[in-house]
Amino acid sequence: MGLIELRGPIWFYKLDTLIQFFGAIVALLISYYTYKAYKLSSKKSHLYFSIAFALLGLNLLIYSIVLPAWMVVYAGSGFIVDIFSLPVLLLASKILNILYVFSYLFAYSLLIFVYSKIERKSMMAIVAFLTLVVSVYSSIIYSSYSTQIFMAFNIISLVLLSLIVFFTYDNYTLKKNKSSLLVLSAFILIAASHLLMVFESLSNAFFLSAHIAQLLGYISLLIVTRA
Amino acid sequence: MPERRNKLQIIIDILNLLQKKGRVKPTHLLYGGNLSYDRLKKYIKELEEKNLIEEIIEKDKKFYKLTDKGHSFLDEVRKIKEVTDAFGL
Repeated sequence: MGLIELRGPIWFYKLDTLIQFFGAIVALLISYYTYKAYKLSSKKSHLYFSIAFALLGLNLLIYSIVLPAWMVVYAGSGFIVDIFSLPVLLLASKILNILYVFSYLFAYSLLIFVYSKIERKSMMAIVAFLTLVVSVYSSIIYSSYSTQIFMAFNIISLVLLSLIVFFTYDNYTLKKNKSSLLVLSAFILIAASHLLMVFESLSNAFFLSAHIAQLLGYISLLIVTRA
Repeated sequence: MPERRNKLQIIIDILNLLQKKGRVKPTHLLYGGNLSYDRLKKYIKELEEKNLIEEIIEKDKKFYKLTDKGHSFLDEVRKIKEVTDAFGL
C-alpha cells in the first residue's frame, strides 16, 4: 500500500501488483454485496458502505495497473525515471496521488459515518475537514517531496481505521461469531499495514510487512464473503 | 428492546417460511411473517412482481409458493445478509 510511485524493493513489485489486484477484487466484491443489500433494504448505510468499498477497490485496481506501467518505464530506461524531469508524468503522478489520498480517506470516513450511525454531524464535519486538509496539503507539498504527505496520509488512515476497529469490535462482542471476528481481524490488519507504512522509509522490512498485513486483511474479508 | 426488522430481514423471513413449508396460506404467511395485513400485501405484491413467489389455487384455497427464481434469490439474499451481518450493518 503506497502512493503511486516507486517505493520499496523493486523485486517485490510484481508480487505487490498481485496483492493490490487481489485486494481490489475483494473490495469490489464487498461493494457488490452491500449494493445488492441496499437495493433490497433501501438502507442508506448499505449504500454508503458500498460506495466506500467501491472507492477502495478502484484505488487498489488503479494501483495494480499503474505499478506494472511504472515497471515498464523502469525496464525500458534501466533506471528509475526522474518524474520531475517529465512534465506529463509529473502531472499524472500528482493527480493520481491526490485522488489516491482523497478517495482512501473519504472511503474510511464513509465507513466511520456508517458505523457511528451519525446524527452527530460534528464528528462527520471533523472527518471531512481532515480529508480535505490532507488532500489539499498533498496537492501543495507533492511538488517538492512526497514522503511527508505519505506519512501524514498513513497516520490519518491509522486514526480513522482505529475508529473502524473499535466499531467492528463492538459488533464482534455482540455477535461472537466467526464472520464478525474475521471482519474485526481484517480491519486490524489493514490498520497495522498503515502503521507499518509510516516507518517504510527506515527499512524495506516495514514496506514488505505492511503489504503482507494488507494481504492477510483482504484474505480475511474474502473468507467473510465466501463463507 | 428487540431491534426492528428491516426490509431485507422481512423478505428473508417470508421467503424462508415459503421454502420451509413448500406452500403457505396467506393467513399463515401473516402470522409467520409477523406482519400487519397491509404490510404483508405490499410485500407479496412486490415479490410477485419480481417473480419470486407465485399464487396457486388448490381446492378453492389460495396458497403462495416460491418460484425457481425465488429459491436462487433466497440463497443470494442469505449470502448478502451474512455479509452485512458480519460487518455489523
